[in-house]
Amino acid sequence: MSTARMAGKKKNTPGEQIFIIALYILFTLFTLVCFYPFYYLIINSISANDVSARGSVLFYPVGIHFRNYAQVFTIRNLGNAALISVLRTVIGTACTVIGSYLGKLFRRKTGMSFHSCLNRIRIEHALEMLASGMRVTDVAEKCGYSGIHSFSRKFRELVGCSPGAYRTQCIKSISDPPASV
Amino acid sequence: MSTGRAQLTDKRLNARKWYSYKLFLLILPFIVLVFLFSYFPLHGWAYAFFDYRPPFQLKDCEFVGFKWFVSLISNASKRKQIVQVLINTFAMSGLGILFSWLPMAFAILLSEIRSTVYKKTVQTITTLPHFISWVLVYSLAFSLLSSSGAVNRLAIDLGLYEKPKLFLQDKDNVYWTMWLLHTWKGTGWSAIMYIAAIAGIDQELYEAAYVDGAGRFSVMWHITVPGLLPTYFVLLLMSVANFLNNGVDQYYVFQNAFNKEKIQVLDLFVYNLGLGSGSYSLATAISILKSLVSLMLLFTVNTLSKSLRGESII
Repeated sequence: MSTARMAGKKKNTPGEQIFIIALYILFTLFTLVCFYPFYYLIINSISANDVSARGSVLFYPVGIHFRNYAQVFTIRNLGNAALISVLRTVIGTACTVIGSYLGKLFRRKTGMSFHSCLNRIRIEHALEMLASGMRVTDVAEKCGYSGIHSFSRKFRELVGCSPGAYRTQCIKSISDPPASV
Repeated sequence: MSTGRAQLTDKRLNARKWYSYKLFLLILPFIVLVFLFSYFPLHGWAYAFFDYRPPFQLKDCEFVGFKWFVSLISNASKRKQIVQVLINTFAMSGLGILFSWLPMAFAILLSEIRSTVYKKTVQTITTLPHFISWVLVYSLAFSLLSSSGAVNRLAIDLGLYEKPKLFLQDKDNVYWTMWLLHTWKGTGWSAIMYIAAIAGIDQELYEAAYVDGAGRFSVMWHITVPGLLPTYFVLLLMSVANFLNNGVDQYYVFQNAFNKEKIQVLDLFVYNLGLGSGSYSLATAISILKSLVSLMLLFTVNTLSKSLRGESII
């Protein structure tokens, strides 16, 4: 994050150092609180069952065994349930991956990302239409922008001036031809 | 210069119409989905106006009109129960809204740390609790907080107290316990959105601020927080609109005979009435009322937001 990088350019005041240390402590505590339950579950599932039931397993496993995990595979209909979950995940991920792969193909073929290509085409059309004297609102609508704000923002980004200024420039250059050749 | 209007010929009109049709076809599957899952089930509201007894069909049951709605407020003990349920709902949702700034603070403070490895680790681990269902959270809580669980064992070994504290049966601190669990589960996940929003704040603002001599805290307060406020207010708006929708999962798994009175939020109350004791019609009547109140809440808050901040979600 740039804030931290920026602040690192000068030395931290003692107050800031204490602040940073306090932040580290707080975040470490919260992370441990988020993590410990899962760790607790895991070490209890591989510890001796009677010791776990008594609540004696706290930080490290006691009497390690994997009988509990072996028993999981004897549950009825486990295969069916697993198949459904796996299919759901696979199909969802496949759709996402195919989408991003198409995006990458596009980039390789045209040399720019899908969005920048789309914006280029739109603004090129807009340039033609503005040169022909259409109103800016109509041009924004025809080029597929939802409103004049998003259109003028994109236009300014790619062309450098506002669409209205470009339009008046074109009108002027048509009505006053350049003096010298 | 010719105006746009004169350029509209028949061919252009047709092309426009065809374009609109294509857009509509694109959105049609989603309209069907919303209709099927959100509007079609509303025909079940008819059950609230009959005295539905399960083995019989709905048309064979007696039509009672608004009897169930009236019965909610006719009896004194019924009134007390409904008031208590509403108090529970307001308390739980209210606590949630009161502390809704926590994920935002989490994200802002996390962005102050320089080490990327530490930040990524913290983010990954704190997002873990979001992915497990409330049923699993209950079994985690049970193994940790029961009278022979880790917390009590540790505390007794350290000598903090003599006899194990019954956290899960406590009926006085139910609201805080439920809020703590909700925060444990949701903070890391909600912070993701704010972290992404912080990355989207224009860096020039920060550079300009540092050139002007702003310290770390001024920058946080004057640039990062205002940059995150739009996101925060949209989420706050949605939280207020969902004020009555607490969901059943969390409260159903944690309810037991000891804390039942304080833990029954509106959704859980309706569930216990309907599927628990079989009063389907009464439960449907309460659901109808809840939906109407939620709708009114949503539009009120939306109008308020539009007039106060100029932004709204509808």
